[in-house]
Amino acid sequence: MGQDDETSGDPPATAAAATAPARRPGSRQVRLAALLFLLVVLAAAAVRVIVASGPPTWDELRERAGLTNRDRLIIGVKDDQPGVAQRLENGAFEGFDIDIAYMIAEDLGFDAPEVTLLSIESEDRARRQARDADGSFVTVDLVIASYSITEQRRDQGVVFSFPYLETEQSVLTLASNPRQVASLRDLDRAKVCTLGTSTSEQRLREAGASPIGRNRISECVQALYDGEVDAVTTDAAILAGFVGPRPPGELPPATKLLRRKELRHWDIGAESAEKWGVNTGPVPEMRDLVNLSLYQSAKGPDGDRWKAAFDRYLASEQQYSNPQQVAVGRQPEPEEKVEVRQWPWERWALPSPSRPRSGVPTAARGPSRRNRRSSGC
Amino acid sequence: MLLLVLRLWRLSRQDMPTMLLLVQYVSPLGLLSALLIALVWAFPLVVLVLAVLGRLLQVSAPERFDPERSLLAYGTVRTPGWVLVAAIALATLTWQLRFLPLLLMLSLWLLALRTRLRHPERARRLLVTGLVLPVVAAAAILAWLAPAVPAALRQGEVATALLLVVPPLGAVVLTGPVPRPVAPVLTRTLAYTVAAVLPPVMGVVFLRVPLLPAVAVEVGPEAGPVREVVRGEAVTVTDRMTIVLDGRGEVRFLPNDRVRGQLLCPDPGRVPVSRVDVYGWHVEETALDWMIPRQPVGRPDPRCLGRVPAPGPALPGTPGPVLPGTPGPAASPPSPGPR
Repeated sequence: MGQDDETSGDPPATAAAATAPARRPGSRQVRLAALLFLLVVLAAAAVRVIVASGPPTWDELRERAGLTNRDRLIIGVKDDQPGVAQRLENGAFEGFDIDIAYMIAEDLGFDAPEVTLLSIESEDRARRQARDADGSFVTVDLVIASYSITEQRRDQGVVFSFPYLETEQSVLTLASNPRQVASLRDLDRAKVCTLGTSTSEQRLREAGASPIGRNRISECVQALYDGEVDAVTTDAAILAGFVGPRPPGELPPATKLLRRKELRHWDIGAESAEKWGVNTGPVPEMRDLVNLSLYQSAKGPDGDRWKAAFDRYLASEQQYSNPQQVAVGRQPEPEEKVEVRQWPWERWALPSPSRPRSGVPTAARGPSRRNRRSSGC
Repeated sequence: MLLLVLRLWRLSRQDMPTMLLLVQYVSPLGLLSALLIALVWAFPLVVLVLAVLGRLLQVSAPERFDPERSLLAYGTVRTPGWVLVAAIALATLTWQLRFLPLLLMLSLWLLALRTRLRHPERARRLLVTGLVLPVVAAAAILAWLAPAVPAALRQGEVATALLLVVPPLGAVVLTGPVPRPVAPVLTRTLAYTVAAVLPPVMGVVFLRVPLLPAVAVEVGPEAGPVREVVRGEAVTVTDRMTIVLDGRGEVRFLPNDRVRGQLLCPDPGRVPVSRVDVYGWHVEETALDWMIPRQPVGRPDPRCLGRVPAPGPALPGTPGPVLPGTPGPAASPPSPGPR
């Protein structure tokens, strides 16, 4: 091969090379056109693939969300909703929201000891203001506090993640109350307690009831026990926790209810679903990370985490709330696909983008939370 | 040389004392190997493209192919065949899979042009190299790549699909001369374009190659807890100091008796953009990447993120781990309680 340099100095060879195709000038034109076309296409394609940056990686998302050098993740949660989020006497939290909070925190790169949970009131959820141990207000990173996604809240600037639970509005009355509640209209002229900034309040007004707003649902239930109100209405998943008995041996909650009576959970045939979402704050990357976590838990290979939390807390309450469904037993479909750039082996094999499995309060994940003996308080 | 100096200049964030310190400690051999590894793909590209353009000019307009006046012609004539073979072999190993069809096209094109020049009178040989071989090769490689093309289209990666499909087809039509008047202008323009575009691209690639190992150094008093984790690039360790270039481009001199531990942070490299693979060979992997096993990238050690590791289990009666700047242990992690 190395010797063919001589061809340039070999007149018969070059002449033949030149004359043979010259007989067909058309083919040269075609070839030139093909070459130019090819050059344009290949240059464009090569530039495109070389400069393509694709979606961000998990690390890039974390960096842009400001999580890179953080030692702690602060999450605002409710503290008086049995089964959803309840603070116990020893200061620990438990409930479905809490497990979801730890799941999301784990996917954001924070193990359980690196997560701080702070109690948050309903009206502070939009502003993400929670009180810490000293009583001073702290802006939390995420709010996971039975927070329904509504257009009105979105318009006010709240940034929601994908929904993580779907439930509906329902009503709680004393079991001794003869009033039958099949719809909100049955509460006409009744005194009905609900959360001050909740989605239920407006519907109550429309139904002709006189709503009484409280800041905490436990205050509403206490008012119901005390006969100050006829009914309590809010999301079924929240109310269901008050209906059944507290399992024996469980640590007492920090918020204690007095003069407890037997309650009844009513299905009011609410059509509109209450979808709970995470308030992720204004940084879009934070929302993307939370959405990615929810997407992974819905579609990823370790999708049992959501189900485990649901079974542990909400599914076990169902028997006391029939026929009202506590919540839909399937994680709501993510609204869109969340793309991150991953290594091929991560896409083929892996758990979620962040981790080898570790961490979460696995010890706290029993197969079933409650082992109740009988109904009634 | 310019590239090497520029690389150090970038590493020092344009700070002269830092750069001089780096010059003092960074080994020239390390710099050269980084340069070689990062830019090895460019050599076959230059050799093959220039050889193809030279031969195209020679076949199309032999009277304009003057090795004494044209650098392109001179280079073509002086490049021995074994260099071309070596370039093709090197490219096979170091080009990403998505550019291998392009390599095939260049190789077949070059082979056909050279055959046309060397054996213009042997019609059968011309037919084999000019038509049969490209058709067979195109059919073979397209059959091999067949699953990747629909996958690329499904992922919306039209450019990747084009890179896989078009070059083998091009090899079939390109194996002859182009119109005589156009050939000199065309080849010269393309040669100049390559000469103009490639150096900046190589420069950009090289400036991003890591030169020093990324480390996380735990710093704290000898008896007490780790106070800080310095994340950066290890410049050197002397008998008194550990010198680290931190993430902001600042040089940190850490006394060795305060260094509690050191950790090598893996360089994950660039996460591929494309999602397409051919029988498990990802299109952004070179043959070398594919053949040599690599360490999978897991979750980085928290210290590599600059986090101070949580102290061990606290003794009973001692306060829990309260880290500076946090609002305090308002909630402990969920204790399962006596269920």
